[in-house]
Amino acid sequence: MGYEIVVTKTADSFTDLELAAQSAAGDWAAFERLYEMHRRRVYSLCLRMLGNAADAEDMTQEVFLQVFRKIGTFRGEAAFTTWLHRLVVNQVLMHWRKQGIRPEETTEEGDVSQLARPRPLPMLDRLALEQAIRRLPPGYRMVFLLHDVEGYEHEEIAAMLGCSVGTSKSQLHKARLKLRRLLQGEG
Amino acid sequence: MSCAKHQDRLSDYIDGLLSERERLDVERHLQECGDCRTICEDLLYIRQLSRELPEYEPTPQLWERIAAAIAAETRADSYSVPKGIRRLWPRPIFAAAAVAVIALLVGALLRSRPPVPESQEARVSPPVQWSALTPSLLEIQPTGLILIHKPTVESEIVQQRIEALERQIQQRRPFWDAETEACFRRALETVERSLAHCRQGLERDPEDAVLRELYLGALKAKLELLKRFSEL
Repeated sequence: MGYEIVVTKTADSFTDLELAAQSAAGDWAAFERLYEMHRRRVYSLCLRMLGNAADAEDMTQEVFLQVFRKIGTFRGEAAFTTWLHRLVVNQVLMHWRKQGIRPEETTEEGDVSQLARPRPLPMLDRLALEQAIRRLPPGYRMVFLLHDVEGYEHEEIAAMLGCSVGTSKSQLHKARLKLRRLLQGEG
Repeated sequence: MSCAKHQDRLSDYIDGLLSERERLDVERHLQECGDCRTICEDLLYIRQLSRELPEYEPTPQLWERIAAAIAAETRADSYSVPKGIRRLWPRPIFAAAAVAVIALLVGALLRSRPPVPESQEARVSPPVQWSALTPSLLEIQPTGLILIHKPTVESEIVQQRIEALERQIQQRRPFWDAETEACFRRALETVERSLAHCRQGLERDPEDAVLRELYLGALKAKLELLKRFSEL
């Protein structure tokens, strides 16, 4: 006498690609599961991009509406989170453009050299860093968040933003230097 | 190479994006220059701290808003959305669930109230047919607010609205799928049970203001249910 082990997949064990396919076929539970898995990351990115919770929730709502509309186009060529973050970036850029903000034009001061005899940064808490990020110009903020917070490479960021890799690297460097000045209270 | 030019390469240096020759060049400079070393350490610190930033949680209501927006969108595009999604996106469930919750709440409130003692029943006026009183007592404002009027004020508004919506539903109902039909039937049964409980209580005590409020709540639930399903 033998035993047959039957393994069934629970909702928790489906991959993003499987859940996306199920959602595209009209499976509401799969779509809800995708939301549960990714809502915090999407919301956090929107919150840091836009700077306030109300706008971030509106943006998150719009992003997941876009997911609903376009889920059938996700084929798994890139990671689902990358596809999702592209939607976030597009929505944020549209939002800024409606407000007259052009992130690609925020190359503020040309000279980003640091002061002579620079002081080292004090011990920082996350709140200070969050506040400083909020004060970055939109273009710097977007590249910084995508690279240093979300972990994307410059090639991916350049593809998302429609810029060159060199621009992405330059914006990141300026963002970090600007953060350094903000965290030292030098504005 | 000047400090400014070395500082320009610090981000690429800490991210490991320089060529071997460039990396060694920067490291040689960092060994000799305390200022650039300070800046480099700060950039590393910022990058490290950034990677530890937490994820934030949106409010629980956000999901409800997203679901409602999707339901509204699929309803508006009901003839252009692919059949599979139309069939499976449970938009009737949103309507039915919301209305059924109200009706169940009304029913639960009714059951939790103590029955009117016989001695009190003897003191009230003789039982009145509640259904005869309803149209006189209720009026729906454009805002949706339901007002209670004294019995002398005639009003057929509520009943007329319900009857009109029921006629609309009768026309659309043959085209509903089985899931929508089952949703509607369950929700309607729940609401009708609450209304029946209220009517029975008001026939014994027509002056019970709390019971009238509960009846209004159930009536509003039925109106809302019929309104939502009349659009499907």
